[in-house]
Amino acid sequence: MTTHYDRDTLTDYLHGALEPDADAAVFAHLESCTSCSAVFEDEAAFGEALRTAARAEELEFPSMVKARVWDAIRHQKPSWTERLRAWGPRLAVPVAAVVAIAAYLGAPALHGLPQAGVEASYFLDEHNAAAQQNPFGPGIGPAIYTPDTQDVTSVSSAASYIDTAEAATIDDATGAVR
Amino acid sequence: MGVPRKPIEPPTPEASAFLEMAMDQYGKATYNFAYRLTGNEADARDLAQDAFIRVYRAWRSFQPGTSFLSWIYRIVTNLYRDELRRRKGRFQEEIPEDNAPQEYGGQRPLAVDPIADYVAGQLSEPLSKALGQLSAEQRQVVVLADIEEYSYQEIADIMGCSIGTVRSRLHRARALLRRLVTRAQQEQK
Repeated sequence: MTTHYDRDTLTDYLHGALEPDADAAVFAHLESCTSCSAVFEDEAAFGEALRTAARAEELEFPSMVKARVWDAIRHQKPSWTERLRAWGPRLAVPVAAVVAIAAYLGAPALHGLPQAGVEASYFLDEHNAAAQQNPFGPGIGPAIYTPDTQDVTSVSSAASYIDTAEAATIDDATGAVR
Repeated sequence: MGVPRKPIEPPTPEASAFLEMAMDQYGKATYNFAYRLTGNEADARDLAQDAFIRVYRAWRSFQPGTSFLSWIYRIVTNLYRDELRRRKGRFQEEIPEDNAPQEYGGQRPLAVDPIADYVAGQLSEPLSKALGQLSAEQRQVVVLADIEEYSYQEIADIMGCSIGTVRSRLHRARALLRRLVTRAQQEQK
């Protein structure tokens, strides 16, 4: 029984799209099979007809297209990459400076928040101010350390001062009375 | 249309020379390719114009030694595809699935169509009309394979699809073209 090739295979053969083995097999088959050979010729003629039709309709490149291309290029809005390229030299130095400053300022943030650089005297002053507003009020603390006078004044109540004043020792760092 | 803006940079001599040469040497082929895809001169002009603007912008990406025509056909194909998407609905056509079962289950009858009659007769008009009735992808593949005579691999590169897709689209397109041309000829008689 003779095996014939279908039209699709012959189309692929016509376009040289078969693998070498298959191509050789179809070539040999067409030599002896008039039926397949007729289909192949038909396919080839169809392709030629398409090319003939295309050639018959071939158009010249309109000069207006060329003019419009140049006009569009001269007047069109540049793309963002072109803008960037055009601005590049002028932007390079300021952008580099901004990046450097940002890196310098932002570097500590990368290592966590900076430690508070408040001196102990700040807390002492705050403490004294609160105590002077209400020297006998509750919750202010037992005593105030005043660096200038080295005095201990009462804070929470007169009674607590009387009880603790003589035995009190002052912590130089914190001003707390022990 | 807005007010045209001045470009930041004027056209460079290298890009201008490249574009000028491209339009001189390949303008006609590009325009005809665009015309065969779109089927009308107005759209072909727009497509060719956009393609050459793209060539101007991307001229540095063209690799010397490769086919310029393949490159610009790829550009035209992509622009045409984008345009079809943009106009979605206006030119949307039913595109058969490439993996759908074959009409004859792979065992097509070997009856010979009267193609010789097509060649002998007035072919241009019915063939052009029939080409216009194909889907955009089918028309592209027929134009590239049968008119421009590109290989399946080149067509796959230009269209950005696989060789298998090129193959199946071409088979279906040619089968459909035959039916359409036959019908057109029967109507003429």
